[in-house]
Amino acid sequence: MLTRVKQLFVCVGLFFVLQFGLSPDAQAVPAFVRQTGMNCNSCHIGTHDIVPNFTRTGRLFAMRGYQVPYIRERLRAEGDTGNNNEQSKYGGDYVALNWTDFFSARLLSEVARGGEDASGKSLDVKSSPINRLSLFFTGAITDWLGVWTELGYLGNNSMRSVTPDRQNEQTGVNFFAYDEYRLNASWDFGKNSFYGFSIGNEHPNVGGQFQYPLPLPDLWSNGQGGVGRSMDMANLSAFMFYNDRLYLQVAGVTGADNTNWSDGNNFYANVSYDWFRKTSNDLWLIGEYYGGTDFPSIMTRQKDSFLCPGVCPPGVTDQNFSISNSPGDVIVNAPVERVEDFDSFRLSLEHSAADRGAHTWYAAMTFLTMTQNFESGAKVEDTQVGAYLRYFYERTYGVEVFVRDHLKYEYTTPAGLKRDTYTKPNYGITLLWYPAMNFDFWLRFTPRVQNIVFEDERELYNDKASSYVLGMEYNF
Amino acid sequence: MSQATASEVDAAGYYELRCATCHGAEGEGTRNKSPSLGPPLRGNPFVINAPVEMLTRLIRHGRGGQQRAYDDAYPNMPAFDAGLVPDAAGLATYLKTVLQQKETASDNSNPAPRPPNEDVVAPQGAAIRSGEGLVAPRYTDRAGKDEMQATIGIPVFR
Repeated sequence: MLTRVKQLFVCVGLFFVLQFGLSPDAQAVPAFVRQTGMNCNSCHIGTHDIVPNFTRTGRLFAMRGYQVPYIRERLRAEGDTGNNNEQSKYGGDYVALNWTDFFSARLLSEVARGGEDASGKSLDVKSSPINRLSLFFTGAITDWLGVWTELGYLGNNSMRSVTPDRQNEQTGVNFFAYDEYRLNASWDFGKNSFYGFSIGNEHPNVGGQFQYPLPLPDLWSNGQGGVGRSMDMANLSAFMFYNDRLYLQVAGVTGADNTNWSDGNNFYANVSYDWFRKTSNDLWLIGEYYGGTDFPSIMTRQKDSFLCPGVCPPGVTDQNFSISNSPGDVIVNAPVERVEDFDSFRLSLEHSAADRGAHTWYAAMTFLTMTQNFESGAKVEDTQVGAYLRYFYERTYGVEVFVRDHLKYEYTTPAGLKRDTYTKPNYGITLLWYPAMNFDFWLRFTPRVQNIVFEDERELYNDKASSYVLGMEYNF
Repeated sequence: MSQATASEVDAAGYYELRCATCHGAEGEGTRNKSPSLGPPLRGNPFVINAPVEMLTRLIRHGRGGQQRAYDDAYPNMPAFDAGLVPDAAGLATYLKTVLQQKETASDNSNPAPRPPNEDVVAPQGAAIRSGEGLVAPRYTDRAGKDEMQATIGIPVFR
């Protein structure tokens, strides 16, 4: 116990030593500047981890198809640069950036992590030199076409070996890569209005980034491309933004189990309204529907199709994979079911306030419910609520908190027997420090890591596990 | 017709390259587009009245965070270093002269819309440095308080 406390003090001490040891005036050129000419704070409220936490500008940048703001050169077909009004001869502008500008990278590294496992046993303090590294390009291709694309690498996951009898060991490879993209065409019509179409290999609501922040209830997941650890999907989407306030979107999705359109597919719709429409005061009410016939069970861990695409080696079961494509919260001892059809609704309220004096924040509340009917005749209903806040003082010192809970999580057997579940709220807090706009340290506490059990198997419940992480992130 | 000087040609090119996306091809702003990215510069009293040096510093350092004192339907203005805009003073002069004349040349009947709150268009501390009688914004905490601080375009955010 004493060792663990010492370790924690070392981490906190390191945090403050670094804080005063580095110049708070340090400025660095963010990657995105090279691509669009803008700076991170124009679109994001903090760049920590993968959460966009958009300002109004950032949200509309994504909605509008990554075309504006864009103040860099574009190469004309004739070979000269500049936003001149001459008509190009061959197919319009190219994105004219240096080779190095095309590719930006994100480095996340955990300096230390530890805590307790589910049995209350102290975990070793570990470090992960590279946790995530990704290359991406985002920006305009022509005046009406834009793209967001990322090639990602995740290292040092807690992925377990698939070798029989060694399933409790780390693989040593710990490799996971993915690619994802969104290609988006849009045009103005009237005052403060535009419409467009997009294709991509993620969930379609990333077009408005209405799915984030991640700690909020999310049963859909964003896919992460063709070989993602989450789900494989592709989508075709049509959208419209009217009078600077009303956003409408409909999309067809291949499904979450596979990328085949023929064996079932899903439908997505979004109706959103923006109230105050200011950089310092932007409030969105977002209503979403997602339903169809191709989706994995939310209550059972699914086999990772990348590591174990066919039949797993003898002795290996789906439960051996800590990374899976299960979009929901796994219920202990839940039976494996195949989804016949599903419906889900999500209602969110998201507020962003950028540079309101010294204060900047992003706050969100979400209500999400999903019902899945299984081929066996069984069904499951999951209703969740969550709240999230990311706050910064002078865009430098930040805190991030979330809480999330199941209001109802009930499985009905094929015979009609209802099995309720037992769980408690999850919550966490992260301290953030940005010595530069694209460089941050974080210290995250997750006081409760719990499992979810059936009410009639209450003895299996465990919420003793907790964790902390001290990490560093650099976007360049 | 007067012959345009080389610097004016360069400034016009750099305006089109760096400024037009947010401030409109003829300085009319993008308030009527989504996303709205920048206020009108044509007819803007701050652009017209501020010294070239002040505009030059604004171009060089950008304008954001608590200095984003104008209508905050817009995002922070990024900084443009010498690599992006080699002749910031020339561009500033262009904004004050050629761009303003476009109002007459292009459309007399439809002048550029004025910023919604004209006394909020000057960045914080502008009155101290300019000596031009510009009014410091009403909604910034630090307006005019710190004379030692460079007043134009030093973002208080990172």
